[in-house]
Amino acid sequence: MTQPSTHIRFRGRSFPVLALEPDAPIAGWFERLDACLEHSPAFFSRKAIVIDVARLGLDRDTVGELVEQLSSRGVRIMGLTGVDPAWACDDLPPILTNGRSIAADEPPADGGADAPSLSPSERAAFDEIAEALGGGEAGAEPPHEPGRSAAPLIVETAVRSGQSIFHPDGDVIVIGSVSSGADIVAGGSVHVYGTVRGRIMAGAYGDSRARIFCRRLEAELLAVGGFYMTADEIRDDVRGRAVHARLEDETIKIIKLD
Amino acid sequence: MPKILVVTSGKGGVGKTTSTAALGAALAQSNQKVAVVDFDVGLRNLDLVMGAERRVVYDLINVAQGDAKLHQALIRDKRLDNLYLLPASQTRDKDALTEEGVRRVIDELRERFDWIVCDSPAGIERGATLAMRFADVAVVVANPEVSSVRDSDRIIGLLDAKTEIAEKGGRMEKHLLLTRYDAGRAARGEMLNVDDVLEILSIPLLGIIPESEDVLRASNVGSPVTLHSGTSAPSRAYADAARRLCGAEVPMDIPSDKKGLLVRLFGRRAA
Repeated sequence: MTQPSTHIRFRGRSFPVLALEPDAPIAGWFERLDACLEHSPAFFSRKAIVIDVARLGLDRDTVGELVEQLSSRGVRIMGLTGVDPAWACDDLPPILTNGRSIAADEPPADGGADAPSLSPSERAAFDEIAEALGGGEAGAEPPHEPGRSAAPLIVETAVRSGQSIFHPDGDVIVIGSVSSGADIVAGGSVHVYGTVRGRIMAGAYGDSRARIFCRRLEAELLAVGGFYMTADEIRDDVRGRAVHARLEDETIKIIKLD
Repeated sequence: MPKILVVTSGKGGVGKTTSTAALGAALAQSNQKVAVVDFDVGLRNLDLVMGAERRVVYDLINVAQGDAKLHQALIRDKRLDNLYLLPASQTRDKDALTEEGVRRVIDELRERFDWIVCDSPAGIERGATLAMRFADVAVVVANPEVSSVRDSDRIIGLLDAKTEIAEKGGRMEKHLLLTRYDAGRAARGEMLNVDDVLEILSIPLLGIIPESEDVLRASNVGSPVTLHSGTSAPSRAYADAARRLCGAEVPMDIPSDKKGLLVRLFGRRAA
C-alpha cells in the first residue's frame, strides 16, 4: 500500500503586476485618482495592485493611512514597495522589494532580493528551489533566465488565427504555419517550419539571446527580448524568404538562411 | 455508419446555406438518406432555399426541448423521397438551444439517416460551436477574399479545439469549399487565387463553385441548385463535391477564364 504523499509543490514565479506610484502632495494625487475612478469605476476591480512609495519618503503612519484610503476606494493592494522592509507587520500589506533598487538598505545577511520578509527557514527553502531551477546565486537572478534549459514545446499542427501558444520556459517549435492573427510567445527561441503570417515573440522575458527561425517570413510582428518590429519595417528582400532573426544592439536583424 | 457533416465558415454571406442545400440534395440524389438541419436559430432560411417555408410546423428547438417528436418536425422534400429538412425557429431566442438538447436530436437523427448535414450560423458564438459540436466531418465554406479566408482559419482552429471529436483526442476531417469563385477576377488579382487560399488554410480542397447567376436564381425559387439545373456549372461543381465527400476520386475542375486572349486584350483596352 502506498502512503498518500505529504508533499506540496512550491515554485518561484514572477508575474508582471500593476504598480501605483502616488506622488506628492498626496491630497492632490487622491483628487486625480477619484476623478479617474469616476470616469471608469471598474478600473481597479479584479486587479492586484502594488503601491510604490519609494519616491515619497513617507513615515510608517502615513503609509498606513495611504493604504487605508486606497482600500476604501476598492483598490486591492497585494503589496507595498519602496518602504523599509523592517516595517513588515500584520497591519500593512506584504512588503515587496525589487532587489536592485534597494539592495543597499538591506541587511547583508539577507542576501536574497525577491522576498526579504521571508523567515530564514522559508528563505532556505526558496534558495533550494531556485538552485534546483538553475543554480547560482538564489533569488538574485531574474527568475526566467534559467528557463532556457526547459524542454521545448513542439506544436505539430498549424497555429490558426485567434490561437496563441504561450511557453514561458523555453523554445517553441511549430511544424506547420502560424496564421495571421495567431501569436507565439516563448521564453526562448521560436522555430517555425512553415510560413509565419502572425506575431512571434521570442525571448519574451528579456532573453536577448533568443532567435526566431522560419521557412517563410510574412509576419505581422517579430519581437526578440522585448524589442519588436512590425510588418512595415520588414524589408522586401527578406519577405517571403527563409530567415532567422536576432537582436543586435537593441534592433532586430533579419538574416537570410539560404 | 451515419456521418454528421457541418457546413461552417467564420464570415457570413459566403454561401453556407446554399451549400448545405446543394450538398444535401446531391447526396440524396445518390440514393442516400439525408437530413439537412438548420442551426441558425433566430434567422432561419434553409427552409426558404429548400422551398419548404410554408410547411414548417415544429422546429429544431421544439424537438431539442422535447415539445415535439422528431418525425413531427422533419419535413420531407417534395422532389426527393430521401431528403428531409429539420428547420430552425425564427421566433425563438438564439440561446434556447442547449448542448444536451442538440446531442439528443443528433443521436436520434443518427439512427434514421446516412448523412446529417448541419447548416451552421456565421460567427464563433454558441450557435456555431453547437452546430459543429458533434460533427465527424466539416466543410469550411470560404470566398476568395482575405477577410473570409482569415475567418475560416479561425473556424478551423475551433474545429480542432471545441468539438467533441477533438476533445476525445480525435481529428476532425475538414474540407474546403471555395464558393463564388470568379476566374477572371482572380487572374486580374482582384481576388485571391485557389493556390493562395489553399496555402493559407492548408486543408484539402473539396470543390470550387464558380460565381454564377444560376445559384441566385435557384435559391429565389426555393430549390437547391443541384436540383434546379443539373447541368449548370455550379450544380456540377456541387455534385462533384458531394461525390468526393463520399470518398470518390473526382478530378478537380478549376474554373478558368473562358474569354479568349484576344477578347481579353481588346476588352481591356476598350475599357
